[in-house]
Amino acid sequence: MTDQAQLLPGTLDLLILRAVSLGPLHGYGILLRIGQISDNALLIEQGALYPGLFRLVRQGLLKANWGTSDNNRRAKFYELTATGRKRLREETDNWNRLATAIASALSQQPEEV
Amino acid sequence: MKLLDWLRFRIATLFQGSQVNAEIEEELRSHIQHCADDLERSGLGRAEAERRARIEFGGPEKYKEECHEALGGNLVETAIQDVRFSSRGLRKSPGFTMAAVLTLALAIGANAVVFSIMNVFLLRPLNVPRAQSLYGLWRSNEGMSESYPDYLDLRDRNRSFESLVAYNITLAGLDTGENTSRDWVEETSGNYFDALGLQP
Repeated sequence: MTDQAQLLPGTLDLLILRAVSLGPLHGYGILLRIGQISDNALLIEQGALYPGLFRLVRQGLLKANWGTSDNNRRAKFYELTATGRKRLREETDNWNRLATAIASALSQQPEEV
Repeated sequence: MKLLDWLRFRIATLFQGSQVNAEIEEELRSHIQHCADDLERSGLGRAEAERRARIEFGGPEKYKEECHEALGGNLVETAIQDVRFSSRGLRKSPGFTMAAVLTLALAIGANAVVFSIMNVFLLRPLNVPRAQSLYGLWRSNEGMSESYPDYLDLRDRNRSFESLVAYNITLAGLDTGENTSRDWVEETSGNYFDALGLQP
């Protein structure tokens, strides 16, 4: 538990888009999927997921439909829209560029500068 | 088109406010149930599993509020709620309400008085044509007054101004027919209205 990293602002949206890009999921399923694909290394407050989901729906990146879950319960399922898929690609590229740049900056040794 | 969508969305959320709320609540409840299902499968009793799931989820009211905001909020609805809430509070404590109303009334009254004085003496420009070319003349060593002969000399030899007016403020008895009252009057030279460009 203590090894979990806090999310950077804005990264939750990216993780949600990535999680549902693998298939429609309900809110709790998205949390489980994020845990699974990040090896449970990220600390996400459960409730904080929902404002993010509503925001993404409003931005037209996700669409939501009520359905029935594996547990035979009513749940709202989220999936990517075409815009959402495009946004996920762009944000992934952005993130990779940023991460590479930061990692390279932090790994420079004094004599190399 | 974007604007139209936005408008339609806002209007829909305005009239379906309670429905949207119910949907958010159902979704959060569904999340907690799914989480409890998992905990139950790991060996907990149902009641304990649901309790744990609720704790793990965090404060639902806070997140419900944030969901509403994420949906673009609902200005009209929140405003109405605020008004209802505060009027309820005011009705419940009439003493506080009276004190607040009196304080406000006094403050507004005092402000209005100060402002009307300021307005008359400082802010409102003189109500005469070409007020900017109107000057007062005083001689520094003679106090505020001039003698009438001096005024006549100044007026006749004046080459700097179009005309020169003399006035004197004094008290006079004003007879209105039944009883006489004392009033402030201004005695002026005959060219007073002409010089100021006014019709009496």
